[in-house]
Amino acid sequence: MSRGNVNNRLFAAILGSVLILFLTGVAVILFSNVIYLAGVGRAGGTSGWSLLWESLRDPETHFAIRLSVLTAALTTVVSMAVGIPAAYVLSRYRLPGSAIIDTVLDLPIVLPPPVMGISLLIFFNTCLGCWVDNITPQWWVDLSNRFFTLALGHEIEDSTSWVYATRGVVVAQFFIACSFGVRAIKASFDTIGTRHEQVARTLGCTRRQAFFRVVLPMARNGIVAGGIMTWARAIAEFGPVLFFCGATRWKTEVMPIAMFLNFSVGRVEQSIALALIMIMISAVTLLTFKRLGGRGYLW
Amino acid sequence: MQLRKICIITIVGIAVTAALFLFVRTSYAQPALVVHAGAGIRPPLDELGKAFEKKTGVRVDYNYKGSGCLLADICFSKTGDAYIPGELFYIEQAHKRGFIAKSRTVAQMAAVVIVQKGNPKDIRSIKDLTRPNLRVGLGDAEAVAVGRAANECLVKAGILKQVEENVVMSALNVVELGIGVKLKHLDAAIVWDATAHLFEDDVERIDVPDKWRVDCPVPVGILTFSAQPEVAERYMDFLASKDAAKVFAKHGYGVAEKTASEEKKS
Repeated sequence: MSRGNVNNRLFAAILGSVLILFLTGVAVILFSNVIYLAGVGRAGGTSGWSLLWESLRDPETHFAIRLSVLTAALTTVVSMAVGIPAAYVLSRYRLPGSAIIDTVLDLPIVLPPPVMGISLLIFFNTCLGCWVDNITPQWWVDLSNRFFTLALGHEIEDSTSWVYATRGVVVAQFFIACSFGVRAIKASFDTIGTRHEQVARTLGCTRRQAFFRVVLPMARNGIVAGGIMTWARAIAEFGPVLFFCGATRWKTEVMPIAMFLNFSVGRVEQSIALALIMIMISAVTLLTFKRLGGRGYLW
Repeated sequence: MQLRKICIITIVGIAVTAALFLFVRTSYAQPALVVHAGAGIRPPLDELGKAFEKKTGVRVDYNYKGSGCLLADICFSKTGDAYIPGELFYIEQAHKRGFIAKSRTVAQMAAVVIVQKGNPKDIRSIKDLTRPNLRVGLGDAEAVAVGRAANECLVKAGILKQVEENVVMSALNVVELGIGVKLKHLDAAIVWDATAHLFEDDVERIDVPDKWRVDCPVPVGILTFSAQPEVAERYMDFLASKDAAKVFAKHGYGVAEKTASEEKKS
């Protein structure tokens, strides 16, 4: 073997071992939850596994899971309605001040999430925010309360105010998760390119027809991937919910909040149960995202 | 060539940072005192920490959180020198788990009602919290000292059920409740008199009648795993001193009834 070849291999080995070290670190740290549970109760008392099983069957845990899945799904629907047009415009048109647009779009991605929570809380203290509260019609509030009550199996009675309300969870999630969705969808529009659209238009399609008949079907996987990324971000949201919605049991207790609440009163096993569920959810969503060829979820 | 340059710069950078850390570490001959303290007691403790450093040369580093959160912290990290939760209950919990070597009460708080500035909802007493369509905030009864106190107060007044109907938010620390009322997202909340003092420019305070009044001593506990228990004890005694009582009073705290005499031994 020539000297250069040895050098090349050594170089690759060094870089590779750094990667492996990091991956092992992440895996070991996440897996330590399981190791901890296995160790609990070995010296007598309830075993970690039965505690885990108990907390998985706890109605409050069920409520948290249902609330998380539901609000994240609603957030995804709203984000897609906003994100698809936004991503298309960003991908196809040259906009003035694109640096500013990019910055504003990416701010929720880079910002510490609690900043968004505080900002929302302050927004609803300003006259604009009060106006939003005032124009929120009572019938709509009743409808959303009915909807949440039915879907969660627990009475939800919010007033017209958005602060500390169950439906506020969707708002808090939306303003962070939507940016991630837009980035992912834009990436898929970018990879498709404009050629197919142009061909469709020379064959007599209008812009609208080309969008609905050519671009959307072609970008389907990318859009689904963007939706999954939005959902995953939304379900992980903690800081904004804590500030904007409060950590109220049986009301705004999404999974990360439930984990925190349990931890704050010393019920560590319940927190771990929730942590394990969230690790699994995140892993599955990421795998699906990659399978669908999703990209661009970071910058 | 380029890569080598980057490598060299990185290594030099790491070396300089390490050297800086060493320098910073050695510049404090005496290690700082680490105190886990309830977030609600921050204003006087910050001031008293500085006074203690001035007096003894020992810096006090605070870890502020909700009292219950701190207990979980202490359980896991098993570090720190003292624990100052907002309520005796938590010291007892920590004591049960064998974390407290010595404890002592240094000040006292009482639960009060706060309402928005100008009292737009015309709330005159704690009984008015039962009125329909009010937005009330309480502390989470399991995680926060003030939540337990509020519950006790409402039970004494016999209106817990009715007030719970009006609760739109439960907080994980007492300051959040003050902010909620200040930002007009809540009509009323039950907080400590010291919290009301913290927000005195932005909220109005309504005292709870004596028969339903709930007092809460502020205890200091020295942790069994403290590396410098003598310094920690000096800190505890300093907090119980007359000078400290003045600082506590300035921030709206009451003087503990049995401050000087009562001393718990483990």
